[in-house]
Amino acid sequence: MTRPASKARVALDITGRSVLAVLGGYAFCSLAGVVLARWLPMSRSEAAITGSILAVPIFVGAAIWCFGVRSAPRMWLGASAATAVLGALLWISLALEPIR
Amino acid sequence: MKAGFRQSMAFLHTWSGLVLGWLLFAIFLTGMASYFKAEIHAWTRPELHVAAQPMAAVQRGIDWIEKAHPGLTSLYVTAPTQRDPSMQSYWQTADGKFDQAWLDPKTGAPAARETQGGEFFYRFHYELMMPYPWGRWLACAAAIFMLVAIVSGVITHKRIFKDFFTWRPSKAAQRAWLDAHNMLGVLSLPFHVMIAWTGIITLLTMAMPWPVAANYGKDEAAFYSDTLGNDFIPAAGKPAGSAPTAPMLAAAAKRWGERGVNAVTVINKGDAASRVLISRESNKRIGYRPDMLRFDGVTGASIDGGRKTGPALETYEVMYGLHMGRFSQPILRVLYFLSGVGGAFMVATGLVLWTVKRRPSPLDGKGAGFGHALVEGLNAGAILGVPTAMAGFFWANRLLPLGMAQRGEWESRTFLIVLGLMIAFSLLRPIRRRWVEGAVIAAAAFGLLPVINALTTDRGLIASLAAGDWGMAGMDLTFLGLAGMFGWIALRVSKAPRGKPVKKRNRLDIALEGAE
Repeated sequence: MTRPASKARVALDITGRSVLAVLGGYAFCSLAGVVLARWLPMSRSEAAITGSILAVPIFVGAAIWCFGVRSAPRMWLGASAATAVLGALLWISLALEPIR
Repeated sequence: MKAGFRQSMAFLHTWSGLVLGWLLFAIFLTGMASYFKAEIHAWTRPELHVAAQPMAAVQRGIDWIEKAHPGLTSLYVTAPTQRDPSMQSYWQTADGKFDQAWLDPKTGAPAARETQGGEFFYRFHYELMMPYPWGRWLACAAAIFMLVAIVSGVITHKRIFKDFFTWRPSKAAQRAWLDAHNMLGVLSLPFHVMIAWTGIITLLTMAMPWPVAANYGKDEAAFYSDTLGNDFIPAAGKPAGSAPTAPMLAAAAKRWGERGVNAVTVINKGDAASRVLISRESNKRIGYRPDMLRFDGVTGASIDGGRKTGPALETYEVMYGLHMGRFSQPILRVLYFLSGVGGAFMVATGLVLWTVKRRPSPLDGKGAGFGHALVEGLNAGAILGVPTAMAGFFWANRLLPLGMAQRGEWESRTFLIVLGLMIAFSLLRPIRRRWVEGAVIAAAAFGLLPVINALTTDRGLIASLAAGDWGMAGMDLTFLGLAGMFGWIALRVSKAPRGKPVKKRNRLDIALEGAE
């Protein structure tokens, strides 16, 4: 896009990034924590704690990424892809061993 | 749309810092105060004195609680220490309701001066005087926003090492504020990363319960027994007698020393599954899980705890412990405090920098918009108001009558009232005046505290220095130091060079100017 973006476009872009960073970031880091909890080769309490602790920097990374990625479409695509991968890992772990 | 990664990080840094900046400032200040929670407990209860025999005092406390609340199901009493003479206690009555009081070590009964003491600042720090769980969520949000601000700030700061040695206070105001903000931010960067991350760790079970849920499903109790061990067992439902606690306290004192005991907890009192847990003073290790002695509440026999451990659990405990700083000896505690001061100034300079940068220059002749004026006013209201409100709490502690109903509540309300007044005052005064006048008010609020202390109690600064009571004296000296700092701020701002005043113009003026 060579013409300067309109105010409305900028506002929409920033709102989209903010919403994904905050709400999506929390959902994503929780999912990551859950996947870590289920996949790490530790006792279930140890893995759960590890996943919980690491969820924090994962959230920060996700938020930084939301604002650093070049365009909104690229952001939604990347977020969906990453979530799909984590979701698949969670689904596989649930198939192997349902939540007790 | 946004050219460059660095620019987008600059944007993110600005806004993640500003959105919860005022809140973060308050969290920093009350957190700093919390490192001296014990000294604040002592200062706010001048009637109490250090107990010579802490175990006897604890027993008196237990006796009072049991006598005043027959049929209670659990109780908790902390031992008085050399830093804090009061005994914090909780108990749960048969109807499930909790109550608390700070007990006088001499009598075991509640202290004459009803106050939250240091607990006020401690709870404000993570609950923000809001009902559960909203305050904690907001505090969590502030911490995560702070982490995002830190990372984006480091990314965006191009010459982060070179700039560390740059400070140009005589340059244009905006540049000087930026230099100060950068220096403060970078100076204790490791501390800020640690304190923000570990802060979230202290609220982790609330903020991030999903991994535990994923591994345990509905059986949350199994997670707690896998980590904490089997201390808080449910009641058996069978009534039984209670063994006396005095021998248990004596056994603990024999093992850890008379001042080695931190607190005693009695659970399921009067039930067959009653336990007495005695925890150790936790200043010997960073990890936030003290040694524990366990006794059967019915027979008085010692029970083996079988402490569960593991690298992740220990990591969690150490992170928790780093935030709490309970292990820190005096010098380290002061360093924690000073790092907090640096952090508070970092937030404050960031908030001011944002408004200074956008202050209308006399040259372009535009008046300050409503939004900008509001933010400028709220900045001063928060930065000067929060400390003044903290001083206000201490004023209320000394001046509210001892027998007053809900005295503790009213001390806490005084904090909010003073904060509200400072914000209102700030919004009503012109830009420069509000900073000078506000700083003078803050200076007076702190400077007069030692005076009020000396006039209303027998433990004024002179008396505590003469008695070698460094806890009390330290508080009064800190108040004086803060008064000096705010006085200096008032002086500095009043002497700062004035820009040409911006003339207020209405639409008619603008239209007329356009026609010239």
